[in-house]
Amino acid sequence: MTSYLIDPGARGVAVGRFLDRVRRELLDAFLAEQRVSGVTIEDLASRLSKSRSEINGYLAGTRPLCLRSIADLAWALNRSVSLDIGAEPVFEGQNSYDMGTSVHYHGSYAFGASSALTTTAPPPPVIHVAGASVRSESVGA
Amino acid sequence: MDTLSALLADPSILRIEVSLGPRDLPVRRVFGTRAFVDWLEQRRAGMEKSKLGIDLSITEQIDSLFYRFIVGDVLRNRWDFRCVKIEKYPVWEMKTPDIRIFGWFPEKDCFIAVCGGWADHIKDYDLYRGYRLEIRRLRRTMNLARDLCGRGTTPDDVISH
Repeated sequence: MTSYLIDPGARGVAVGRFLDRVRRELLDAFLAEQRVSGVTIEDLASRLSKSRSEINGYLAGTRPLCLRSIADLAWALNRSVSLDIGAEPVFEGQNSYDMGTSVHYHGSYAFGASSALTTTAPPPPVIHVAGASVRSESVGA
Repeated sequence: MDTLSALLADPSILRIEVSLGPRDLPVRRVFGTRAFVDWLEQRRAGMEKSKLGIDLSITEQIDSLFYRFIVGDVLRNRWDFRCVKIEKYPVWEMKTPDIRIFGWFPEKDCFIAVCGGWADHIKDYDLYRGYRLEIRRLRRTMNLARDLCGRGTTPDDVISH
């Protein structure tokens, strides 16, 4: 079967998925808090003195997220943010984007490509928006 | 066309893949029509940027969405995807901040993308009905068995978690 690989490049994969993951962490934190305490987008807007559409834009990814916005939203959700930029361990036989040991078609059609054959870029840094209980434990320690 | 394997073997349908990390396994599948893949390729070749001013290119947005779908991550109903209209053989919409992708699920965890477009354009001109009809027309043209048109309208009908 003919296949097409969406390939924004190693940098695009790492950066794009990281930014997407940050937005998703915020959205997940909001939805979890909504289930627990019933918080709404209006509540967040009120706490941060911003408009509803601005808060909705951050959660939907339609507004640029700066570090301050992330910290603001985490605060409004009564959560803390942790950032981990770790070295990625390399295992023997692992695909490597830079070494070209995996199959990349750069947007062209390829025949017979296995879905397991692609990649390689290391996962991006991770941001977690932790719950309030975690924050209070670490403060207590 | 009576079986999924016959549908996916059709030369007009291409498998869409994303780069997987060292510990990722594909657990869901995405396919696209040639026209959709050509549209994707135009976005990539043009290195198109977000119209919303966010720091993700169009290709990066689509890569992230399909990556999450393919590796089995949670996709949020309404935020990441939704059923366009509750009907017998519904059309589904996959969402990135700038882009909307329309298609259907011939079976659970298997999405066939047919059309893509800019979210603001689709909303401004209310193109949802047009995309729905386009997909219904395509399924009719392909003479698909009803079972392959996807019946469910709830997220659990089309995506496993």
